[in-house]
Amino acid sequence: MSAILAFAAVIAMSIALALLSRRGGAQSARDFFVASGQLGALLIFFLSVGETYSVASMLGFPGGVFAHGDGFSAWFFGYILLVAPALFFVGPWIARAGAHYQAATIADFFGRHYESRALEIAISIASIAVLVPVGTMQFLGLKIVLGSLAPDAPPLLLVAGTGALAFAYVAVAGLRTSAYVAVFKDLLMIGSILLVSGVALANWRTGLAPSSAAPAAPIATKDLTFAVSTILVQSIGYAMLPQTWAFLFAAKSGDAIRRSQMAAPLYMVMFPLLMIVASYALTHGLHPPKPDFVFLTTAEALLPSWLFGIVLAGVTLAGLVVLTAVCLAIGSIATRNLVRGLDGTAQRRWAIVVTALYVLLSIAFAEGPAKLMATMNNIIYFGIIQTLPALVAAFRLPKVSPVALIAGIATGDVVAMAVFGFGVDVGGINAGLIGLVPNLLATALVTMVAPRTGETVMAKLRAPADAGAQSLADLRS
Amino acid sequence: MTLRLVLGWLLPVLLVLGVIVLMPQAAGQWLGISVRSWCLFACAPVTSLLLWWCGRVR
Repeated sequence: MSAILAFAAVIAMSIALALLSRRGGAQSARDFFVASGQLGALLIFFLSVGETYSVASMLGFPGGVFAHGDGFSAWFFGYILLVAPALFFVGPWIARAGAHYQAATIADFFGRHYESRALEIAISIASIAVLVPVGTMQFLGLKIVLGSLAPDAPPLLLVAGTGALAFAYVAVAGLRTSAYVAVFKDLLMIGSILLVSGVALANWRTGLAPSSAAPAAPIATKDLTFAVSTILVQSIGYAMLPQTWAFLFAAKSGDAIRRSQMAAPLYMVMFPLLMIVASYALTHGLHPPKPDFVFLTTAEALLPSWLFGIVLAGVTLAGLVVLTAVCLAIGSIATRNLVRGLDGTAQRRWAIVVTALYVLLSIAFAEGPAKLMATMNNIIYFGIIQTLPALVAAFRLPKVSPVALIAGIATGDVVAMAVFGFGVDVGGINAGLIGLVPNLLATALVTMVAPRTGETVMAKLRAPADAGAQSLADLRS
Repeated sequence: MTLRLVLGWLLPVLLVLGVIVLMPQAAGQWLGISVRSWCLFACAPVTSLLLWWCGRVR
């Protein structure tokens, strides 16, 4: 009972924080979706890590180590670490592009830069396809967490409750709420991990043998190739995710993004701590019902009930912050890019409706087969990395036309999905990387046949990569 | 810009991939975690330091 009370108290505090984030009178659509580009380095840091470390990181990472040994961690840790350098360099360029076009979504930018409705719709559809499984993955994790809190309650009811909470966060003040709750969530999350791993270390008994970990085995060349190519694809692909663009557009300046990414790798101290928790469970005879329960099983075994409730609330907020960001990304794309002609108030109103539909759809998918979602989660990056040439072309290659980019993205997606779907043997190379080759060829071919003509605004986009707050503000005004 | 790109992006990439490719998985353990994983974790503060340097040098 004390666990439930502590859990409820933390969630109530997060709701109070969400209400506090709502300042002033009516919000414009851009303020609702990207906080009008006013967030400084600290909030951008918390949004960045808040969206990166979800419920999957807290439960899935130690679960993977518990089930497969720590070889599992290499690609996961490697790609998340290399996201920071990628965003350090690319992030300020994206923020500058967003300010120049008053963009709130990735599709806003491409549609306006290339003056192409077709490219805007193509990027919108690709973005929504990428975002659909993310929400479902959060609800799959939330089912585990809430099942540990109240094992006798109907899981669907509990998940629907958290869905309502995610909806409320979005409805209150959009991305501002997400940023404020992300600060609270990250303090709770890192505090929970420090607490559980610290208590595990304090109770560590030496000389115990692992009970069920996979033994350290030499890694096959094919697996190594997969790990290396996946790290590259996913660390760069992360910069092209629609929700990443949203928090980059929310930055006050390029410096705010750079400073946030300098600190981001330090937050990864959570990974060795999570691994210590998994190792503790393995060597001290804990038996979680499934590998993904290992963090919660260890926390329950080591902590008093009320502290366990706070840990559960931290994990729940981890899922909710990601859900909020994804809801906002989908809502903004649907109301700004797929449907045209809505004014700011209508965009906000319809984004809230889209959020409700997305939450319901994600809950329904979470009740379906988990394997399907895991597969969809894998193909997210195959698809999203195919938009990378479009970004490079926007800044560096004035002759590339929107038709060439659509041809490239479509070709790359089809080839990557075919390689993955039919299990074609490519020596372990990530299917997304394979897809980039025909993508670039198709883009180059169409560009040679029909190059883009007329003036472009590339010079303005490229100008000062190190632009500070003032120049971004100038671009927006 | 080139030097910043090399130190801020290429060096972290080479560090991470170097640890994964070159470090043997069975090189020993501490707290149930392989030495290879500890080396990988050590790449995080190094990357942070490199980005901090890139942020200072314009």
